[in-house]
Amino acid sequence: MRGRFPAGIMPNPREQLPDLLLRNEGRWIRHEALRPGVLRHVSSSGEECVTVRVQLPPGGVLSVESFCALADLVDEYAQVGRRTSRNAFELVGVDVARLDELVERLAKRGFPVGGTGRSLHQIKACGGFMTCQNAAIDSPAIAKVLGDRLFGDVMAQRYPSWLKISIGGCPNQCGGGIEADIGLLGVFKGLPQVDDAAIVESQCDVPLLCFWCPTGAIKPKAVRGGMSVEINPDRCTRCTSCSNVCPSGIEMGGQRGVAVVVGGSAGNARRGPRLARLLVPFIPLESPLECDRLLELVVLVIEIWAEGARVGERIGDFVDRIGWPAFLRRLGVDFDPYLIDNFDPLSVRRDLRIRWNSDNGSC
Amino acid sequence: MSLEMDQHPESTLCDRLSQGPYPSHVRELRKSSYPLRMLEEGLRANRTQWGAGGYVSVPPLLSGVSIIGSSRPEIASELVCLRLLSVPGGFLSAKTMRGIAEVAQRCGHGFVRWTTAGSLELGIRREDMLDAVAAANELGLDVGSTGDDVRSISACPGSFRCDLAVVNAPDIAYSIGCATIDDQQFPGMPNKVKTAVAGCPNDCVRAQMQKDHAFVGVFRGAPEVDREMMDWWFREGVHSASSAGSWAVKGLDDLVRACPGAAMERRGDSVEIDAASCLHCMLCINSCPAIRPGSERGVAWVVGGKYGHRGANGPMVGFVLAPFIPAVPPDYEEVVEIHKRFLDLYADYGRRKERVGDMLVRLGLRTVLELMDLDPDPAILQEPAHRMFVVWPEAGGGSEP
Repeated sequence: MRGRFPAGIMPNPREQLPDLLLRNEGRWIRHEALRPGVLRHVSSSGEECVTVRVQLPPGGVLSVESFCALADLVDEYAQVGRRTSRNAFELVGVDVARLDELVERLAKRGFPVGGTGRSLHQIKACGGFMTCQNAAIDSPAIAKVLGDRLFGDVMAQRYPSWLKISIGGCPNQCGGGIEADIGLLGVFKGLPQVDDAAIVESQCDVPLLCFWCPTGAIKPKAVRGGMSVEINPDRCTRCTSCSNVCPSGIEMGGQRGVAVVVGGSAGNARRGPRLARLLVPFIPLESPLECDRLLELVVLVIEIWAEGARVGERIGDFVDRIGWPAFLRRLGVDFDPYLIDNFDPLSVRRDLRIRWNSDNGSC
Repeated sequence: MSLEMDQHPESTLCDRLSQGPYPSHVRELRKSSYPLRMLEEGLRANRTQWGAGGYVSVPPLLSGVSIIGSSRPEIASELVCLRLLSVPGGFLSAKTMRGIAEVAQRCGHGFVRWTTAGSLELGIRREDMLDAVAAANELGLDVGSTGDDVRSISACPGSFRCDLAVVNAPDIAYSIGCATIDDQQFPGMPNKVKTAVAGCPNDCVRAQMQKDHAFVGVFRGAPEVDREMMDWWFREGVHSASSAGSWAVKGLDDLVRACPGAAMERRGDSVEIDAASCLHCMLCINSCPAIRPGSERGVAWVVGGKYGHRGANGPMVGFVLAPFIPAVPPDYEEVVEIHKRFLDLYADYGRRKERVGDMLVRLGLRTVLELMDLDPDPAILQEPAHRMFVVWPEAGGGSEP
């Protein structure tokens, strides 16, 4: 029987919206970048809506104090706040005469304005070690270290196109990565460790464990007191399905590290939506703050792209044009046989249209 | 049970993450009563200190409360978060934000967190959970979006703020949300179902990639060219560094060359677009304010996207199973109906823990369209099959999986 909870309320966007946006619904006709991080939308009514975008901390976390500070600034300078789909924050309906003042106050509170156009957009990260039991790597720490390193590019408009970096702490990819221009994915190298006693004790769903394993690596085995499982090391891909079904009985083991993927993009202009592709399958990560090798690789990918891409080309467009072998060569990244997808034969070419030793690849 | 303010003297790694110009999560956590030592110890050990827990329910809330266990009970025994369904479009008024802050302070640990799928998580004490939910209800918000249910329905700003919007995404998301509020608050699906509505094919909300079951605003016919705006663009916009998109496309000749469908021809100081060649990809519309989406508008139904590597197929881009569904305000009946019909199908045919994308691959997309009682639109075809494998029903084959 339904009680008072849950109340069954679908949040209504119209309740949050100011008159400016309600009366101009469907009437916006163009927009432009007033300066990095600041957009102006113009309505056919002649009215304008200025939006200031700020970067939020990794993992999307805010203290109540900062959340209130943002609310106060929305109240004082704008008409409504908005969380963007990359977990940045926008102050919408800003009074353009007081723009400088607002930007300065935001910066003072630690909210840099930027992440629009040809810049580094908000680095998206999951909660990592901060809020999650599954994380292989601490994505917020990596996002912070990377953000500090690339900080100038949040404002600068120096890239060929926009750059979106996402960091997912484990193969479940809540933080994304596989959709981004550059994705950093937390991965486990070791075989999951099975604790027979814990599986029996927690009355774990063994059939579900076997069914959900994508490669059939798990089979049941009888143990004292009940049923446990056995994991075939030749088949296990460390996808974490099993440890998700039975967290107390199966623990992801061994070394943790980062897989680097590049060239993902959503949207249908140019290539259409595509998942990013593997560039380096495993960079060991001894500590989330000691990630120089990872940082250097990310910076190198950005520089090679910034140097070689045509204006408007995102990383994926650029790699498509020059080809993967040429891209790897320019990066100085050795070809790793693990770049061949053992589960999808289509990652190997079925034509002979090969650019031998061609580096610029323009055709 | 309680999370004490951490005064650990040696939070050296956390200190390092408090410095530097990029926004810092540690600076935020320090201003809350989040147990920072859990993070410090995690950073040192390079291993999360949280442990098995999961979406344990706090009766009578079957969804929307996440309880993360701990492997360091001497520091913190658990981390309890209340998830609030996202407001489609992500808009929050200052008043609502202050209300949320008040709840997070009074009933919890003084921090909030936007999840990457758009819900807002509040660190809340277990014993104050129902108070917190009641207070959120007063603000017009509600609890949900954990476990095997329909997750927060996200949307871009749509026609409320965007000139590119083909449909009003937040409005459609709200209609879908009202019709499926029970599915969002009671876990009854084989696995989670992420849903979003994108206002146009630029898909800023990743409806095609992150979401299991989503809609994207689309138009048919040629984009419309506004001569008056084209004159303005020539006079000012195209030369101005501020004009959005003008950095990628410099003037009309460049625009004509960039068109992926080769559908555009220059005619004096304007262009003509051939409707039959147009890919409706948004490139010209993004680049030139004088070109606008055509007026015959609807949504495409896109199913099966996911980022996660769990399950049979790993990350997938969703399939376009219906390229054009009329989206008629204010109720968007046809869209809402297809959304619900597919939820029923997934609940019936999905195996336990099987994500939508994996189910689609297992059943076969033609079968799914049959089960949905939808005639396949030829526009969905990427290329025809290259195998002659057909289970002919009229010759004794089954038509159902």
